[in-house]
Amino acid sequence: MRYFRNKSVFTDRSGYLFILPFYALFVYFLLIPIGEVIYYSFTDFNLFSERKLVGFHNFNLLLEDQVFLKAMRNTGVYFLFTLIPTMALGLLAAVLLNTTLFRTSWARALVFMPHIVSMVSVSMVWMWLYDPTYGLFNRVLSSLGFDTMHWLIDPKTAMPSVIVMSIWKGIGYNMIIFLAGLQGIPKDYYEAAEVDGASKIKQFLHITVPLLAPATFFLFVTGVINSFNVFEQINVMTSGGPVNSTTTMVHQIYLRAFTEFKMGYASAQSVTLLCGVVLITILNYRFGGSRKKYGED
Amino acid sequence: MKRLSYRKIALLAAIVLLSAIVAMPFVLMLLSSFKTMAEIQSPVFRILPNSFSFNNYIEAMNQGNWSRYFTNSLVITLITVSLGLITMSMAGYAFARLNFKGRDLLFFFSLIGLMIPEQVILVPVFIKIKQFPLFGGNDLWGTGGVGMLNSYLGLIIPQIAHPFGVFLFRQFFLQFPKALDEAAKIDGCSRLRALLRIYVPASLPVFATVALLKSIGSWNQYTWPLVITNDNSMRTVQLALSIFKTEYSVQWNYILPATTLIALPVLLLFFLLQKYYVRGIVTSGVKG
Amino acid sequence: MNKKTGWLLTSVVALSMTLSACSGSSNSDQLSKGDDSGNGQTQQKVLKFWMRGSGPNEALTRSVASDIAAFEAQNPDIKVEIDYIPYADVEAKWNTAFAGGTAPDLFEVGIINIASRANLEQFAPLDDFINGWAGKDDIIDNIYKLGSYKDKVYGMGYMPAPNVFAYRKDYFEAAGLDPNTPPKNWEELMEYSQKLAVIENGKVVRGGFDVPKQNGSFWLEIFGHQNGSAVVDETNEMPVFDEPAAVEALEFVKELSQYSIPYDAQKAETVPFRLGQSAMTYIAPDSIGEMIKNDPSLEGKIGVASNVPGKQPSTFNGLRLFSIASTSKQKDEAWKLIEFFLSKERAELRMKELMVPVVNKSLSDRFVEMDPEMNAAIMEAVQIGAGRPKVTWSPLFEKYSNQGYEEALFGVKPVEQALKDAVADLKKEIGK
Repeated sequence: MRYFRNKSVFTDRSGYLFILPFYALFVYFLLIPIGEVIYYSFTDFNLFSERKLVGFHNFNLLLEDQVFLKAMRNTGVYFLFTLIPTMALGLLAAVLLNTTLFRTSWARALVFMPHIVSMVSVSMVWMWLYDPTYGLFNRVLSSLGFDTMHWLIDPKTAMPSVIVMSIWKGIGYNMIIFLAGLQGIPKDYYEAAEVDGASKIKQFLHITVPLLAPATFFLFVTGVINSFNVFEQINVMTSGGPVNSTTTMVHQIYLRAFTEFKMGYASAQSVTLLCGVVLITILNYRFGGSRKKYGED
Repeated sequence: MKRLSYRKIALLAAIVLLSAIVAMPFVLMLLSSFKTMAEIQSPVFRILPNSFSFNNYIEAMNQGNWSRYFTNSLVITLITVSLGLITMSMAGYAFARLNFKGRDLLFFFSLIGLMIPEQVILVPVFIKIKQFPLFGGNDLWGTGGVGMLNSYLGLIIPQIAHPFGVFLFRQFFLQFPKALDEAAKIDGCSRLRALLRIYVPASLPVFATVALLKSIGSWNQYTWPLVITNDNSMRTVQLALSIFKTEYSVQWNYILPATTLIALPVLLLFFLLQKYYVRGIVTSGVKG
Repeated sequence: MNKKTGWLLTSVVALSMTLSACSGSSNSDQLSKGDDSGNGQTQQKVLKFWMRGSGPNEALTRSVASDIAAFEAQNPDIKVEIDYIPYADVEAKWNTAFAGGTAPDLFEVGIINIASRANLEQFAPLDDFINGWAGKDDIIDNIYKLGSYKDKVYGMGYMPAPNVFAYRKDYFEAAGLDPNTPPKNWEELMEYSQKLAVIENGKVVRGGFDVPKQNGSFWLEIFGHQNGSAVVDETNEMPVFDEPAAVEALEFVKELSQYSIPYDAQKAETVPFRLGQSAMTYIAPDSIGEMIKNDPSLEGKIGVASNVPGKQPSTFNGLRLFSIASTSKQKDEAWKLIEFFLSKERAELRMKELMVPVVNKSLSDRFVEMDPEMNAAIMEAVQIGAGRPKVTWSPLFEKYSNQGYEEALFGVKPVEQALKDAVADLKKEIGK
């Protein structure tokens, strides 16, 4: 393979070979099914019998679907209040546990544990914690003299309860990624800054944060996607209620497709969801910048 | 001579506090896994169980064929991660360091795979697995048999098709300065050798991270194994947990021990991989 | 390519291929067995059966498994492969199986599944099989009706699962009520509930009668029926739970809810009665059995009645049935298994072991004898009980009745408005 010193010549044709094993499987098992779903959204497919093309009918129905609109609002709320705290706390944990002053493997393991256990199991444990009579939270509240709360049965507290649980579960995952990123920052940079008299905070803001940008970008993009796709904890903990206060878009899609057999309509909902997520990701790209290189501005 | 500086104490306190808050539900879970059902449901809440007998654990493991379930999960996870690390690091490297036409577009398309929740494509992918040509009795057109259903491959392949690892590898491979590629070229290194000799050794934390996260993802899968497997003998550990959920109740005294046991292998993996999170590896080889 | 990498790759690929071959062998076995194209040898026929449940640690599934073992002993040329589907996953598994063509031969189902699956032509009509069956007259007539859709039978009921009215005799005594006299009508139900509820600082600490706050569609059905509303008009396939009788019923339920701890009816393990946190409820008899098993001190403290009638008696009466997949190539063998399950001998065994009612007329009296207080209540409940509405849009009914129920109970809308809106939304969706 010849190598030219000019910039804009696409010469690494071996690149195609490198991505081939992954990409072939990806196209067959992910991209094509997504295409099929897009196709279904224009039909009245009910999973089993013949489908008829119905044009934009499903999408029109969407606009009037109050429950789905509510689900969209709920998903937005979930996204706003889960992602940022989770990332912030994850970063905090990573910075704290990046120290060489103590052996931190145990602390890291503890913070990471929530991510290790499956969402279904975690949801069940938290359901138990939130139990109005037996749950730990209410017991603590009542022993301190406060009123007990109906965490998951009260429309006002149901979503916040789910959000708190999700933040708790996500901290460890964010910490791990940030840790890997922190490991990649050469110690010399900090030493040089120290010599220059920069405070720890200044070092954090001017060395750590910029150099963590690829990790931050990764976590933000995947975090957005995961927030918009939230499903399992809703399904297990609240089944979308009470009074639809916790139902999310994917939850609605699941109900429509699997309990009501309205695969065409559910596909339309999926397409809407997908468009939203794609849009946000594109925005991320524009503002997040993914190809920053370091050490050579 | 150890100087207990103020900062050290503050740091330690912060770490302990953080760990305690996060670990609290698990500590509870662990302690409760030793309680009898009556204790768990008793109106009076006690943190500690009456006795630390492993009865619950033994009884839980005697229901169903847990050694088989663990084996299934282990094999699937191991193969998924091994194959996945190879294909994903290659793809991530290509997207990050190589120049070829349509590279960024192809990468963006692969991101779409990240965005779609699995419930949405469950049925189409299920059909693809069933109609995979030349497997499980299928002819060239994928009809006639059951394809990869109810087999390890059916559980492994869709996981390797997922772009999560590719994205992560790409982000981290982007961090290396361009000078590195040029230096490699000058030394007459092919792209592949550059990957293997330079990038991989310098990215062990990332490999460890992807291995860890992919293992967890694979280990914790529920919906997909649910619809793909039909046999009791093919169940994974997550599916097997449903043994303890009857029509009217959840057998907490069995689910808690089972969940604890299920979490152990991954926890072990985490500790094993800790040594790759050691600072300073990247610094070598970059300068001069 | 580097030699080492090459070897590594090859060995990994080889390993995975061998592993898939190992598990793949079970696939090819299934294939050759399932395809009974008689190649001269006496090939075993394999019947695939999906039972709802979590597995062998449930009494019912154990009993069915022993039935199957006995069946196989009697019919050595048929092998039955049983797989357990957790209740929460039933729809997902069935749907992918039908969509992908891997559906089993025999299903164990609930009433709510009959109409929709029959409508999708996934279950086979059983009338021909029934007509040729010797034991067909021994089955309670209502059972056939409950398993039918548009005048054809799609499910063969084998075990009624009624909800009975249960109450804590010890709580009754402590509150000065006669432990052997459950409330006889709605007025008494309200009165007793007020007396039995323990309220501290304005919060209900122990409830009188359980009223769920979330997913309370069942309660709407039970109380609606008791007040004379059909809730769903099955003949005309119309929801009618916004009619005055139903509105009145829900308003009564809402008043009762003041004396109950709020809970999510879908999470069966949080029902306050099961946790000793209420004095009365509607509940399935096996649930009572489980309660006593977990806490033997409850023996003798739980009283039952078939229901607390309103204008008329009613309760929820579920039914477990067997259905045959329309895609099955072994319908005759599947029916043989059904006949076996329903035979008097097996039914009697089941009755004795599980203490549950059966659908055989000849065994009803014996059943009541076994435990007069409990079983008389159960048999009565079977007779007066109604099942979930048998319409093709049952899941939608559940969704909207829950919506109306919750909006009413949480005070989001007045009761009548909540139900009217729910019915209107439901009608829109089913195209009426």
